[in-house]
Amino acid sequence: MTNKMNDNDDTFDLPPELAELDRQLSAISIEQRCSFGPELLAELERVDREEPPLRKSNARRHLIAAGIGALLLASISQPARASLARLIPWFGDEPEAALASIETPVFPPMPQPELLPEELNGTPDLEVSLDDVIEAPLPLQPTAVGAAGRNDDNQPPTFDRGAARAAILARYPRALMVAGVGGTVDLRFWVTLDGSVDNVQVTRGSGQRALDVAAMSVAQTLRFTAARRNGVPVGSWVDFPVVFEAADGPPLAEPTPIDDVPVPGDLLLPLPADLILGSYLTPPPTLFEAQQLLRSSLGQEAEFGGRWSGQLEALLIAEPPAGELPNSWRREAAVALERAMAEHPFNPAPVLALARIRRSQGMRSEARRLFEAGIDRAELDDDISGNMRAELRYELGMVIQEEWRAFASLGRLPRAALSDAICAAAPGSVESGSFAAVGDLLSLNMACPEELGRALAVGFEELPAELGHSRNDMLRAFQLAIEAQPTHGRANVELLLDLADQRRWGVLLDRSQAFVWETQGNPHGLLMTGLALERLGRVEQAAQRFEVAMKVLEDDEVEALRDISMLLTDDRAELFGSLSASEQEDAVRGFFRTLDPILTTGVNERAIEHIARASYALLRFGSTDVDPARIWIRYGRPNAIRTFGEGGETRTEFWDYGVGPDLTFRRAAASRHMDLTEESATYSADLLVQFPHFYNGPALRQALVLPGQVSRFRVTKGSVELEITTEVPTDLATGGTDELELSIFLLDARGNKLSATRSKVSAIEQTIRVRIMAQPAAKQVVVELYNPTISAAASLREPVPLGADLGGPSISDLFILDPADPGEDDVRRTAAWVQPNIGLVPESGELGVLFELYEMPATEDFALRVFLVGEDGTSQAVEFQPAGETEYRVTWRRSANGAYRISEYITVNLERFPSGSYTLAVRALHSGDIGEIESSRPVRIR
Amino acid sequence: MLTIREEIVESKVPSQPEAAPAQRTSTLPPDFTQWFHEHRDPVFRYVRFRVATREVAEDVTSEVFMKALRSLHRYDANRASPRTWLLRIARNAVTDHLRALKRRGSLHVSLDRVPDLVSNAQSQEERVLKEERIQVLLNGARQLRKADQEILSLRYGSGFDNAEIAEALDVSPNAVAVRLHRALKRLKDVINADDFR
Repeated sequence: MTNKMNDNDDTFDLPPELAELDRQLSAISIEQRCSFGPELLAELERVDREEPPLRKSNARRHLIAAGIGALLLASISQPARASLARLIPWFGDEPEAALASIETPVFPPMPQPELLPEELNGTPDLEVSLDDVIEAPLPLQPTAVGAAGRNDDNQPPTFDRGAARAAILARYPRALMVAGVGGTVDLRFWVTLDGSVDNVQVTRGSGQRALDVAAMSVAQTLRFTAARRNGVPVGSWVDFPVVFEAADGPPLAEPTPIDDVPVPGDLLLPLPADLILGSYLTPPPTLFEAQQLLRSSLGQEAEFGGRWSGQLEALLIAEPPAGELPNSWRREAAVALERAMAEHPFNPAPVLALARIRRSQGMRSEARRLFEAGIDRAELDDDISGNMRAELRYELGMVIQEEWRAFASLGRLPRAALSDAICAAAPGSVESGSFAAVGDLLSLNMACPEELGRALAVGFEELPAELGHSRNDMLRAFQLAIEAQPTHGRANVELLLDLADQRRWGVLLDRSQAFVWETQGNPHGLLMTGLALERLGRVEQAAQRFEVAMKVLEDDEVEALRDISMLLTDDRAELFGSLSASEQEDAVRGFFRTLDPILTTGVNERAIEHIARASYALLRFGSTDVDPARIWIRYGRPNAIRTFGEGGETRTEFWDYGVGPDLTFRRAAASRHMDLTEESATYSADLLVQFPHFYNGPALRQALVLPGQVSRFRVTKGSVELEITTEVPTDLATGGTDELELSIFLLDARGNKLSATRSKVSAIEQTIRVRIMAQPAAKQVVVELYNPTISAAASLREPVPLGADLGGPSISDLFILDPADPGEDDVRRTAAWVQPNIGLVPESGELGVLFELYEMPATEDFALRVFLVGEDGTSQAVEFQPAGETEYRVTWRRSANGAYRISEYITVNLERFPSGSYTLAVRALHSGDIGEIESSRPVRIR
Repeated sequence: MLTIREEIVESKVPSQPEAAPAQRTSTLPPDFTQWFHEHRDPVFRYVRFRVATREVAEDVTSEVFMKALRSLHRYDANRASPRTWLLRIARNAVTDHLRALKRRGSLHVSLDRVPDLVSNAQSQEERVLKEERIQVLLNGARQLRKADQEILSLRYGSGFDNAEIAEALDVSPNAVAVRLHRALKRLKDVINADDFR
């Protein structure tokens, strides 16, 4: 036998000096001994007969504690036989579980030997010859399992249903489960004499590789009672379709990114037990191993007195030791390492060190090539640890990431798209050319941001990355690093960050939890779990993850996550920085307390969002104290990032936050490090005063605005009674079986809770009316409706102090009611006819208004008048009908007669006003010193 | 290039067909038997190109198919064709062998060990010269990095075209062309350097 070139060989153009070499190599032919093939085949057959199938163990960690799945065993061509139902006791006698079921397996017919060849020929889809696997079988008589009944001597294999169910639940890939992806995997395997499973084959895949793999791992865990033939245990083949049945998800979800996928609560893994003790698994350090390898490759030079003695670590981290001239040190090191590489062709350490030096010199291509060479060397040697291999692959991934970053979100803006954006304030020197210059864009960004924003939204052309699939290459490198060392922290974190960038929160949760388990608690993995949970609206669980992570993180990392200086103006930030750690902690708590969007929940959503943002920024930007991290933490993820290239290596990033100018950064093409441009630094300082920070609650836990009115009435000097009327918003009304938590909080000036009133109401659309007393210290009232079923809340915040609560002639808030017709003597807030509404003007245009006047002078009359003030400030008198009267009027003369409090009711008619937003004002005009007192309330006419 | 190879096949190879698969009463899984017949040659030639002697190549090839038989249950048609799978096993087996060898002794090939590597030489003298050249080429190849050795072995040992190599290595055909070009260039450098010694 010789080698033979393929006739359809592709063109292979080689320069002449290589073409000759190619010719010589092609001319080599390889002869085989003619008998080698038949000899080998015979040997293989002998081994196959003599060796029992190998036992394989699947040591995969049992990660997933719960899941939804089903194991179904489909029938093959033979109908299920009645005897099977009795041999497998559970068959058919248990109700199907709602989401999971396991039916009886149906086994391939046990063939009669004389029929076998024909049967096999007729079933080409059988991958394995059945007579291979039935060892010394006695033919099974058809009657043995026929309808006549049970034959205890002949039994198919049986298995434990509960264990199978648990196995499939545990192994259903959660990302697919969450995405609603299911499928059937047809397996065939050999059940050995001892009941274990071997030789698992996928006879028909599900189309989802992950499901196929999961099904095979399920099979590995199954334990059977071996089949029996004439009472003797025998091995047998079993066809075993595994059905992964997705929960309520779409039948076959798109494999596209899933944003804000709700993950059922029971899928949250418990935390590793040891984690509470503050320890987690760290990979063994590579430095020691790498130093040993490097020492052996450098030989005497690394020994005492040699050039590199005591500098092995410096070589490995590519950092010249103190006292060395960096450039010449690197040059010298490179020469030595190249020599070591040549002399030790299997040693990866000098390659790793040289690659890092090349990278630090900015020679990325060379570094990349070297890392690849290092990987080759490491793969060749069994003695090289997985961690060392992972490190090489991770480094390769980082080099690729640098290349990729240079092109990520890079684009350009055709000048034509700017034609509408040339605003009056824009500088005149817009250069000619097809595409806008970065300088012009920076000017326009400050001069007319709205116009530029529109132009960018429509006209920005993203440039294809020149390096093609380098993001995939990068991810692949990290993936391979993890395969080499599953606990490799930084490689895992890079993959998790990529998921976060794609907002695949469900998958991020899944992967980060798996990583945390693999490492028994890597704190960066916990931060990513927390981030995913927070974005999924599961803030309590996120808070718990963050809290645990902080126990394990380094002190400076904890400090970075707790730092709020980026949310403060410079002087306050300075003050904050001067506080002790415990004072800072108090300050942080106090700062977020006033911002807590949902007081009912036991967690401060705003504070947790801060930690989530800080976690991302810390891991993505390497620090929370750099410009992009500070902006990210303050304002969250930008709506869009657009990058413009400039000259050789500089990039300008435009972060679009929807309103105002984009925040712009400069960076070197591949660098993670970037700074705000000068314009943006100034603007961001101004912005901080205007909008210290944005809060954009997680999608699943919105704090909605609660419609309603809070009317304040003076009870005695200094104390106020609140009439609160609200309606359950449609978004929270999930049905009568759900309950809403109704909470009313009174807060002091610093946001501390002075009192909280809680009750439960049905989650149906209804009006809620509450009357409470507010103590003098109360400065703010918060009315909150929280639906725990959907984790959503709506709240209403109003100031408590009534301008008039300190004494003297004054007027209460206007209490808007459904129109009524009370007698003059029956005007009281507590009367039965009082039906408050939430402040809407009904179709009829008629509104009831109740208010109170306090300490009006006893000696003189006063006049009441009503006005409607439009949005433009124009004020028109409104006719009204006082209680007990039948006529409408514009002025009503009243007398206090020395009473401390007078209650008044009027009906106003707003029918003649066009729809729009107005302010309804009631004025008490007094001829004496008091002059005019007024109370008003916004109304909306439909 | 192509023509010469065709000549080799016709002129030098004693054609001795093995028993046809259909006639055998093999107890091996049918797929495996088929794979064995289809892919034994390229696997052997690949191995032979990378190891010192025919005997070793036979041992390593036997090991490849033994391993394949034992891990048949792990084969996944969705991930790789049978040939790619077998070649992957072969690459690992060669690596194992070389690693063991590295601990024991030389990787070099001496002339008296290459009687099975033949060239299309017309005369005996020419043949000797060419065999010397083969020795130089293969010893040069042994000094290349593993990836280069693999690609040269797939090309000149197994006789694959770029597309087939691409499939075996799970890279693009373009990348194969580039890598092959580089490997040849490095081989040339190595040989030239050796010539000066």
